[in-house]
Amino acid sequence: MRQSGMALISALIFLLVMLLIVSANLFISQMSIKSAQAAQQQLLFEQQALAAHLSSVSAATSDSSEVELAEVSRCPASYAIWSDSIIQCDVLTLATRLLSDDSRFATSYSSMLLRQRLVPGEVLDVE
Amino acid sequence: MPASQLAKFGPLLAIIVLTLLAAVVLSFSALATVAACWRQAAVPQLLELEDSSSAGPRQRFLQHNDTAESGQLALYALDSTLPFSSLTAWPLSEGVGPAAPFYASPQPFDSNYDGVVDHLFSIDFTGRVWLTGITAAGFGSTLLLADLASREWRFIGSLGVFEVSLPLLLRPSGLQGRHKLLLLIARNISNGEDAIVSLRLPADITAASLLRFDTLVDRSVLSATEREYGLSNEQWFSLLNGAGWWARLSGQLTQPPQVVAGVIYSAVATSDFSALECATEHAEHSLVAMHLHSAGLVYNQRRFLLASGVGKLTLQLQPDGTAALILNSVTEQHTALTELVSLSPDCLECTAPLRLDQFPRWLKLATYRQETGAH
Repeated sequence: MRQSGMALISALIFLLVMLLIVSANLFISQMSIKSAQAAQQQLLFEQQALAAHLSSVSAATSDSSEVELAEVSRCPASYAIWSDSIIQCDVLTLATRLLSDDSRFATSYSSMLLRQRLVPGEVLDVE
Repeated sequence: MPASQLAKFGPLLAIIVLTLLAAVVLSFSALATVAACWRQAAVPQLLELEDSSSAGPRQRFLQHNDTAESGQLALYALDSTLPFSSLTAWPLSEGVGPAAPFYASPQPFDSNYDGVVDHLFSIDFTGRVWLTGITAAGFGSTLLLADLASREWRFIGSLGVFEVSLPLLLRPSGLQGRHKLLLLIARNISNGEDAIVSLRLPADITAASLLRFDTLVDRSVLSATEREYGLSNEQWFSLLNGAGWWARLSGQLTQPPQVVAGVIYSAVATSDFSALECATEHAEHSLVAMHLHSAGLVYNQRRFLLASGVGKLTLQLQPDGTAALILNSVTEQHTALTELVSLSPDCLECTAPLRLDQFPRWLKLATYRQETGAH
């Protein structure tokens, strides 16, 4: 009787230890899934932010909106050069920022853009 | 020599001596009192200069003057008529001395793209080119870059300093991808004809060796082979490895040449001018179009006839988006050249139609992510 009691207690202790090991494993695997998803979510979020940034870059360059922040005094080096009196170059910086819905992720992108434009009055239209 | 022989040849000798004397006086007077077309009025330039004592740049007037027939530069504060800094002593091939008069305006240059001028290229009448550091406090050190002294050419103007980036395909091995071009206008003192001189300055100018006129390649006449088949790769590489080129325009410039998409367009009068007389609008006129980097052909020929000498060469946007050059004046317009092209970096002879409807043109230089609060 006493021996079977000992066996029962041993079995219970064994089961308890096993339960602890299994639940720890389960907890760890849940955490790794969460962390893996978080990284994936962040990647997706950054891709979304970059796509939004690039679309605003193309929107800014397609119309003549003024996003002017900096101006250079001359055009950068090139092969097919123009006289300074005809062409004018500006360097503009466009920055966009995106915050995720749950406010857990935030990212911002900036682009340096070069705008070359003809000096007003130096190019005539056909009358 | 007996007195009788001296008396016999006396009149002949007198004629020869007087003729020589007249020639000497004429040539000196040609330089002393040159025709109006040799020299533009020295207009002060307003420059934005770096000021170490304040946060932003400071504006100064730069004036190039001639005092006692020697060139000098002077800097003025905006509210003063007295210069606070002037430059009268110039480094020469041997020692230091005065410069010849400045007919060409000094060319300001922003070498580090920070929006303020930090260097000046000065060109004197005899063809010496200096690089001078400049700040709002005054002139810095000066370096002699070129001494283009030549028996028959004098330097009367400048088209500016251009920074060139060569595509990999067109770059000779061992040559840096970037260099500067200084384009000058030279005039022949005997017949008044003009030439364009292109000096190639390495990216690190301070390490450049002194350029001489005889090291420049004469591109005045193109060979029959080049006319038919274009410039060979060997000629191109040798041109780019050299100090630069010069080309006669076979005429006198009637207005400053313009560089449009890698092509130099010059309006010249081809008749009725001399060293002492400026060409008038009644002369024959032509348009010269040459490659910026080689002075070679861009179109099927370098020279086109101009209907008139009246008006300024101006770009015109055509209905189909292409570009044309016209002579534009208050009363009339004459088309000088249509279907302008732009140099293309794809190959040596490559050009592409110049489309003005693409302007304003945008180029994305860089996109970067801003890291804030990173941990």
